[in-house]
Amino acid sequence: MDMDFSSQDIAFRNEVRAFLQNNLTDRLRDGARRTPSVFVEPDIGMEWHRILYRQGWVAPHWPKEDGGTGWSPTQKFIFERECALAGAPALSILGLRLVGPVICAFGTPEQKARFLPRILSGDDYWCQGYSEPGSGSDLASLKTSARLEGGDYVINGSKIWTTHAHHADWIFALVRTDATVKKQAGITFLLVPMDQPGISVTPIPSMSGDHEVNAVFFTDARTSAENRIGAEGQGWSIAKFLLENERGGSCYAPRLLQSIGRLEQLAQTQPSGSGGMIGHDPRFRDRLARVRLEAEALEITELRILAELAKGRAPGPQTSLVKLLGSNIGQRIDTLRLELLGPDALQLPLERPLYGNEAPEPVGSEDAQTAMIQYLNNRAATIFGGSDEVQKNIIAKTVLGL
Amino acid sequence: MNFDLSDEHHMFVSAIERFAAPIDVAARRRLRLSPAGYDRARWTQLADMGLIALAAGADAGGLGGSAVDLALVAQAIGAANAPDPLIELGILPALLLERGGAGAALEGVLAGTTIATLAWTERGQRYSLNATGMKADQNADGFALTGEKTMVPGALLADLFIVTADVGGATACFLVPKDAPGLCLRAYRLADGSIAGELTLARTPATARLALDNAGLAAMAADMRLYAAAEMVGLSQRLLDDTLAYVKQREQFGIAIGSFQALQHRLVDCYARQEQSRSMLYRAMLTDRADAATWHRAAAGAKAFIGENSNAIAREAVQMHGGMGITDELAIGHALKRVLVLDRLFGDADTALADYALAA
Repeated sequence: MDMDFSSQDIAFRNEVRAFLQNNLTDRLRDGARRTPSVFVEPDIGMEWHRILYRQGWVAPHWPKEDGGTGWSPTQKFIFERECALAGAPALSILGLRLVGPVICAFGTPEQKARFLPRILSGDDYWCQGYSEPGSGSDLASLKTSARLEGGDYVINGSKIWTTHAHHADWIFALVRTDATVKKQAGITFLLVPMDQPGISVTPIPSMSGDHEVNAVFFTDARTSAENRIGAEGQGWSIAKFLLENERGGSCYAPRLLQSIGRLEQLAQTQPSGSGGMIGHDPRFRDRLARVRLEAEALEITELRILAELAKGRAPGPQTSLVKLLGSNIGQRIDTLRLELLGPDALQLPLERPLYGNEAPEPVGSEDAQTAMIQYLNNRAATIFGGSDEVQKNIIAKTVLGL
Repeated sequence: MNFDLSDEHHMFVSAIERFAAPIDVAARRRLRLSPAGYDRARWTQLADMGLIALAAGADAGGLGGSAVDLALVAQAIGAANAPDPLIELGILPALLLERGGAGAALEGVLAGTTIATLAWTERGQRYSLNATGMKADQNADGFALTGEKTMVPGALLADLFIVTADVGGATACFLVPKDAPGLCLRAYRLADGSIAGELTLARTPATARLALDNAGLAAMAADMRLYAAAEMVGLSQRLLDDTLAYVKQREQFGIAIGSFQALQHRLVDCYARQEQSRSMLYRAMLTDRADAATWHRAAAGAKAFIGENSNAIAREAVQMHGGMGITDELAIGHALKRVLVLDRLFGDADTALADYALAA
């Protein structure tokens, strides 16, 4: 047993570092650091996306023949960690991590040729039509319907919590094509163009003041039957494949440890109000140390999963464990950040974006300007992609055999 | 022994309920998003109801409300999820101006015609009441103030600033009208939608010095901790009530999510927290004030205890509402944000808990 990287891994790490050094501009770094929403804004995210695309590094999680990098799981981990350490923007997962792998795994050669290159290049921006007003944790009860009419599916219903629907060219949606069978068996996975009269997008304001999510309404919206992925009724198994990708495969620990490092730094410069710095207050110091321990343990948990993947085993319900731990540790970091930054952290600016020339002047510090927004937005981390409660049910059932 | 509300208490509470009722979440949102974060006409109505006057004694032109009266009013404001900054812009200045002997200014505050706000927070001092970044220098005409304050509540509404400043190593309070020379204000929005300000004074003349010393300020902070705690008890009651209603009505997997034991047990934990918070509030508001140290300690403890419970209930309320809890369209998010602000008013949980522990 060892947890060292091989010399090839270290050479790879150095290559990634050199690339980041040369390509990650201050504008991108600043945009990433000062975007307190869950998703980075497309102007920053897509600029970085295209840089990675030109390097051939935009889709580490895809099969090599479809445009992936062919990296080992360890290399993927190294890449993610170096990006986190360098403060690179997190790319939108919607195309690259969610629908892309679905098309790679279930798409026909024609579908692959049509959609994958435009996801890789960033020409198409995607959003996800999963949750509905009446179907959240009980996703399989979804009601949005699609019926075949000539060569098209005609879609009626609504989707909710659709991140960046207002930026998207396409939506991948779970729809009901058969209401007479068991609920899971009647679901189909469709790709639907957003720019059409049958689709309308309504913003849902977040309590942070951000506009990230939307409600999407389908009124006789249409998509060609050629845009169905898999067979009719196969949607639920595709959905589960996608959700495992959403929950797992990505590593939380590098970004969590990066955030904790920043708090440790700030704690040395933030006055406690009673002489000395907040970092010397044993109560705060201990809480921060406790969170660091959690994140350090999670890093090894993630590496253990990676080691399994490297042996060719499929990711399973461990993705639920990582999602559960990662999102909760993140929320504890957000709480500590508010505590650390004191009265300044109560500011909640509504102007967006907070990077670039138009950004409002922060009160106190840039960290304080985004602390509350991050706290509020990240309450969603234990809800989206399967809530904590859903993850715990999955683990109880599939891991613990309860 | 009797923990029942009096008829008069019921009257206050129902008056606030009636006043707050027309402000639904959408109206609250519009009000909070307006440039000053609040509406002056609404403030006048609040004053006309006597709610600000409750904070001052009859001799000073007030209605002579007790700490219990004020705590119950604050709790009712919280339970209604009302957008009114009564405790920070009403009760706080009224207490200070009365105790500091500023009768003329107090009159306008009680009537709602003058809005006064306390500028006490300094970046370097965090939650401490000691003013070091604002200096008062005596000259032939009185005092001139120079320095900086942050997180001044109601910055764009205030006609009058009550500014804490250092005078020879002690902290004193001075009155500064908003149009005073050398006064510079930069407004910014807080989590609860209210507008706070960074206040800079440069050789700004004070119109008066309040007859208050550090002990007077500490007493005011104890009062404010009690009222902040009371509003939080009201807010967490609202959060819990709304969440209970939601889990009974929201169906997933064919049944109400409130039928899941995993949620039931957590809701029982929230209920226990809420009952304990209410008891702690009663304990603090009924504590005999004859001994300042005992009463200040009770207020500090209550604030720390209730702040922690209210935050925990707010987080559970969001989680159980799922995506809806994250939006700005339910009382849940608004109440959570107000709790975050109140929890840090006159000291966060660590600060208040340390004050409680050290005073033992």
